[in-house]
Amino acid sequence: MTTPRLPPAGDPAPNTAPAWADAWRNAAAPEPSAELEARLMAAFDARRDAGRAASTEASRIEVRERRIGPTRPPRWALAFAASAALAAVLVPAFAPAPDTEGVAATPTSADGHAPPASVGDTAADDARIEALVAIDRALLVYREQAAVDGIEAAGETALWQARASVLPAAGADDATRFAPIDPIAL
Amino acid sequence: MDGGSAIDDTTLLAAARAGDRGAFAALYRRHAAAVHGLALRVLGDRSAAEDVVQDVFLRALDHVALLRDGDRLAGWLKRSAANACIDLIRRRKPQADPETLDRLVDENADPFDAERLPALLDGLAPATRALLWLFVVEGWTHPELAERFGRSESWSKSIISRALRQLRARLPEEPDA
Repeated sequence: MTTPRLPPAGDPAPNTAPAWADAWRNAAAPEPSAELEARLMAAFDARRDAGRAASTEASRIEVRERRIGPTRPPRWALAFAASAALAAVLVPAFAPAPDTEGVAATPTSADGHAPPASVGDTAADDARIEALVAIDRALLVYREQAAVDGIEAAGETALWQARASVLPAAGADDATRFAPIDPIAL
Repeated sequence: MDGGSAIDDTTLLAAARAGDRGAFAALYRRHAAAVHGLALRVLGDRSAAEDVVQDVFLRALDHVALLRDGDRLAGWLKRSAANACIDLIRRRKPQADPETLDRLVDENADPFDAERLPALLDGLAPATRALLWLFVVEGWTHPELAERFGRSESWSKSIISRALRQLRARLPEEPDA
């Protein structure tokens, strides 16, 4: 307990503790009720139980992460959905002429190219690039997540097909412009 | 853990934090009276005082790492209780003028008389009551009181000075007066 400052002898300073401070300090105060102790112990029990539950859950997560890596949301699914939607909008615009080998008819390999669409149109090319970037990001995320979650390869195939649908004919410049984006840059 | 008096506070607190119910109960029984007494004197409300005590003891579990010396637990508990009381007073309503003290002094209240103490304190405005008790009995300084109440030092000095002056007027037998 902090010792109150008693006034020096003969000092009537009003802001110092009076000599009767001890009388106040030693005056018996009512004891806390028995209900308080019961309530406090119940709160302690609840807190302890909550802590144990949290600890158990943390342990469970830790074990799972040790086993299969950190739990992450299926970002690939979102990326795939976004790029697929984008491709669905853009692909018709780039659709080849009927006498050309269409992308739908030629599901491509990883580096396959679909027949040219409206190459040379700046706006269309920008749209292609935008779509390709989205698809490439989805591919990278998909591959990353696939290694974690063991998902099927069908999704990746679909992404490659979507990518091929957007690609124009391969040319010297286009090969650079439409090359898959650098994973490191993601 | 049996929580006997031979076991120091640090050990008990660590055990309680680890979930030892007996250790927590021992800590409570060791310090509850002092903490409750302070809260009750400052607040004058048994129910509110018990709420403060409960809150302070539970918070102590979180602060075990900050208490390097078990002997400091008692001081920490009382300080936390005082802070909680002040916060409660500040939240309740604007502080009233401590006029009631005049009335009590006129009624021949004797501050030396421990039996009269509850009545004396009960007649004070909440802030005056807290200021007076913390300053006189707990040894808080004006800067500490001012900071915790969010007021100026002159505010604290003014209220306590006035209260003490009135009390001193009733204490001809006080050695220093």
